[in-house]
Amino acid sequence: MKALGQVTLLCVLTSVAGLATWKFKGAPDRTVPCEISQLKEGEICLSTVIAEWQNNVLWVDSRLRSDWEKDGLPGSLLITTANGENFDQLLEQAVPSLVEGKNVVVYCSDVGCGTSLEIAKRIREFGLAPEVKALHGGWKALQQAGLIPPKS
Amino acid sequence: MKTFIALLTLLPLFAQAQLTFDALQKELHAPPDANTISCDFAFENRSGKDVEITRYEPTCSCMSVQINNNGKLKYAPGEKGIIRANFDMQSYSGKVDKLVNVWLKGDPEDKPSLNLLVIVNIPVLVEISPKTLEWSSSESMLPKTIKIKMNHSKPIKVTSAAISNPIFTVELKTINEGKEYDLVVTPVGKSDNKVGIGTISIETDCDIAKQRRQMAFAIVRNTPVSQAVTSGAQLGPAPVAPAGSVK
Repeated sequence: MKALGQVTLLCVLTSVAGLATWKFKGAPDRTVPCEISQLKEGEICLSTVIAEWQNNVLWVDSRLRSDWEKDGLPGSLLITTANGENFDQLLEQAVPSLVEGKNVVVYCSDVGCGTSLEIAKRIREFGLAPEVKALHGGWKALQQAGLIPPKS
Repeated sequence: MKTFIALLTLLPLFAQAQLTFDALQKELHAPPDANTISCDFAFENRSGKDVEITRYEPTCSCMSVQINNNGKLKYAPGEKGIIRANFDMQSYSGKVDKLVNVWLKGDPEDKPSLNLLVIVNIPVLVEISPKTLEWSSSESMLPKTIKIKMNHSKPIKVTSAAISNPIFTVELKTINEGKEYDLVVTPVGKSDNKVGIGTISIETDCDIAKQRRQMAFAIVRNTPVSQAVTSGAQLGPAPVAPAGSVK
């Protein structure tokens, strides 16, 4: 019983410490972590895009068309091979925007998806834009940074 | 207190068991005419406890994943299994990386324990270089050339080459029939817009359908490259840009 009391006391104390930390330090940071040293070749952190490229960015969504239509970043273009989409056709439609001189950032769903890296690589092969990168963390990083408007 | 500390020492017993794989990354070389390719990742439960696979997902709709033994998910110590990744290559050529994420019991939803990487090398039979030709208004509108090289044991002939915009002309030259061609592109007119864009379509008789048609672009910037326009699109809500059309 004495041990149980000690365990209970320790649990209470750690809970109080946790709540106090939340109150004074604020809610935990839920943004997608991005360590520059851990990036794959061709990837970029959202923080770098915002800090260094600012408004000079053309966003490309490489998810499913239905996802892009539902909650794609406003102003983004769809270029993808998901669900049998024709990459050549979508690229051709996007060329007038790609040649405007902006840096291109491609995103897919989240950290684990690989489509954005592949689409970025294929766009880069055409040499249409100064820089073409895949966003580490994908759409989820954009959402957690507050860049995806909430659904109405 | 001593009892509590003793309880803490038992915590490692609750640590997650893992599966041991023969490799977490595999590289394959696909024949040029293959439409699908499979890659097996063999694993074994070398831990002292049961391991349960709760979820497995490829990162591309072009892949499907199977687990052997009719999809058996729970593996006792010493048991072995295979995760097979099937890749539909119909839209791909060159070097392609694809991931399969595997969650074990206890994994957070956004952090799978395992990332299995399949690297597939699909031969590029019709090589186009460069894929974009560009001129600025400050330079002479001299012809520029796209090199077309065939990397196949059989000859591949270019059957047609055309460009979508009449401000350009194209001329196909045979260097070595079935092996090498030059496509000479010349701007001959002026676009009314800041940028004149032509899509170049190159058709071949390649017996592999996905490599039969190739695409390239020709661009004339009617403002000098140093004064290229960068419009100020904002991050966040903005009107969706209409799809451009090549005239």
